[in-house]
Amino acid sequence: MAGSMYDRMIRINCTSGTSTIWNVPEDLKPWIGGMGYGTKILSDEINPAIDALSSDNKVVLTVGPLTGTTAPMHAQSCIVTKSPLTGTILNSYAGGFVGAEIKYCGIDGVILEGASEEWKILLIDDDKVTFMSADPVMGMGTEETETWIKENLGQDYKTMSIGRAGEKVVRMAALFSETRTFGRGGLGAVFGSKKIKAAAFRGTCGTDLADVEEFTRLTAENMKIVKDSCDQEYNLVGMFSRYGTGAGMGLIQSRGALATRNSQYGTFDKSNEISGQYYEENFYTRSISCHGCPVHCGRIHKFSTNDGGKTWARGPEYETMYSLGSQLMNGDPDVLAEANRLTEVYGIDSLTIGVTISFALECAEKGLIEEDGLKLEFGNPESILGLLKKIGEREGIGDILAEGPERAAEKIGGGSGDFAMQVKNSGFAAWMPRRMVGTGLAFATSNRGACHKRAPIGAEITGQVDMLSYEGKAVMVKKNQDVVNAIFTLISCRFHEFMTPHEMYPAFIKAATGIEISLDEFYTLGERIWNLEKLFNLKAGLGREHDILPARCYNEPVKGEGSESSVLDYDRWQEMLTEYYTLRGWDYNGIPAREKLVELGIEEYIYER
Amino acid sequence: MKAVIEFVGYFRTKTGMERFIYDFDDDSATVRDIIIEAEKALRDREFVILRDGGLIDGVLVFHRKANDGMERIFTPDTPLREIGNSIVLANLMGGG
Repeated sequence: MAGSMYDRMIRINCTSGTSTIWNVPEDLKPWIGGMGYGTKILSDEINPAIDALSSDNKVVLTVGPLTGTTAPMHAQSCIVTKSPLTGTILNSYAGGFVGAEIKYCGIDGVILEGASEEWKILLIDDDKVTFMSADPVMGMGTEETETWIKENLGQDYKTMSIGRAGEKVVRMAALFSETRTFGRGGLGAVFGSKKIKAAAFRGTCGTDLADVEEFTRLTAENMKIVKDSCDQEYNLVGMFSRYGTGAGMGLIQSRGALATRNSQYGTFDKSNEISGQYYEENFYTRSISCHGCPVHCGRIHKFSTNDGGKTWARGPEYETMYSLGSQLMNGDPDVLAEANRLTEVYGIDSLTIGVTISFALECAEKGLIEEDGLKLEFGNPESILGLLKKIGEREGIGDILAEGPERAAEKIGGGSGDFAMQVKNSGFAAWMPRRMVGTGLAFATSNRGACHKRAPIGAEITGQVDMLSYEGKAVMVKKNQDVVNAIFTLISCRFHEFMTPHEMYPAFIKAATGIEISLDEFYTLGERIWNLEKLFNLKAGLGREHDILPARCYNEPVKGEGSESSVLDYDRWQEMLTEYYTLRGWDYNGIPAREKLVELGIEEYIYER
Repeated sequence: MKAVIEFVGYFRTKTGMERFIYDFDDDSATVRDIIIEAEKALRDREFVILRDGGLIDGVLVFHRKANDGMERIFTPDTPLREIGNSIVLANLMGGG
């Protein structure tokens, strides 16, 4: 070991209940770690056309060169797998403490293969893997499961688990890890398909560094930047530090871009009651942080439950304030918090389930569905919480909705696909493509479906660029996608990049691992990963026709004050998509040209129809 | 000339008001001028958003367009009469 990566991973065969150490091959090391490792390993090892819920799928859980070090805001770990929700390659992230613990196990990650016949908990102590029966925790929620593991097997385990939704292979089920979540893409369902209820890590190894002195200097410099940002009253990260991620609700509302009532409106008259400031001022609140992070943007609040009790619960984060709040016409902060808590109990992505519920409520309003014993109405707590439980249990109409909004629309029919607010079956994140054209392009072209992590949200919502313009958006989106992919090889927190000069990333890589990489090469690595993901998706059967937003975005103006009756022009949209493909070196159908793949050094992955 | 600052999000909490209204003697007042008046009036709320003549990082100023959309104002020297005598103050925004 010459740096912060251990150059070894554990392969865990869930079918046989065995594990082996896998030494990282030389050709993987230039992919740095995190998303880079995950994307290449999955591309090399599975057929993209497989059923994501079959035992042929693999789960690649990785850390990066800065995980477990003193570098601020590098707590996250990354999972790459084939998504049962979108049918695409998936990368999903969670912060908290499990990433550092994986590193302390003396490994760069684990690869889960096959599928168990019985439900299991995986215990990873350094590089030793034990399969134990999951019988004691079956049916439990995520927090309950992880608490059981800590209380019965060791408080020093760092844990991840699925809830009942994962057990029932709900396609939008998430994987939870203590106070954080691998939210998008249905990882909980993949774990469920492998009958892995939980995993727990406990390590005794340290973390080496290639250049301790330089790393210490960089860390101090970076920490000062982060702390200075937190100290500034109006700084974005400073706002997150003081109010959590819901701090900016006022701006998006005033810009008429707060998706409301299944994205029919761009404003919500109760937006203030579900904002970060409101929770901070009206609920007993504590901040929570991830490993080594001075921002502590997470929140837990004490709130009233629907049955009259009181409980502590994490969040809601900003995206959930939209998905389980404005999108459902839910302006009650207690009901929102209760819905958010139920997503943790069941183990479900709060974004996609909110979008799916809002879709269902509109279907009911149009007479397309009904459910015995449950009113289906916007703004009705019983409807919201009831549907959430039914999806988590795959019960009644919930069994159809558990498939995700696009698949559910196919079953429900009646033109409902037009208002299922998703891309590739993944629910929209909290931003309106009709109000933010570049963000819409990022949703549509995302390799994992309706993703906001690589969208030009800040530039558009703050008015740095005209959010309704199509000009320059293709360039902006491509750049964002490539940069963020590069940064996700280090698994930096998405907020880290908001304040850190990009030049620090190659410097950190060199000081941590000894690998020399220029900033341009770092960006190119991001582009390489983006193209490899795209090739995976093409081979999985997804083409240009899947890089599209639902019809509502092209034929129904946004209602509400400040929303300017915005609607996308379909033809202009298609021109912009073609412009984006051209910038990427792809043909009209989104297929990367051989020359582009040669330039990126990945020609062996070429896709030919 | 009557001019208005509309407070959004965090600013509404900080100032404790939805809008600040000020009457100028003439119509040459700028965005900076009304912010200065608001800073004076809201001193007890520690409302300070100008530094060295410019806006503090993270403070966003918009004006409402005729169709009710909003457009960012980058310079505090902008005359208020050019933007309907009204501005909107907001803070930076992200997601999570």
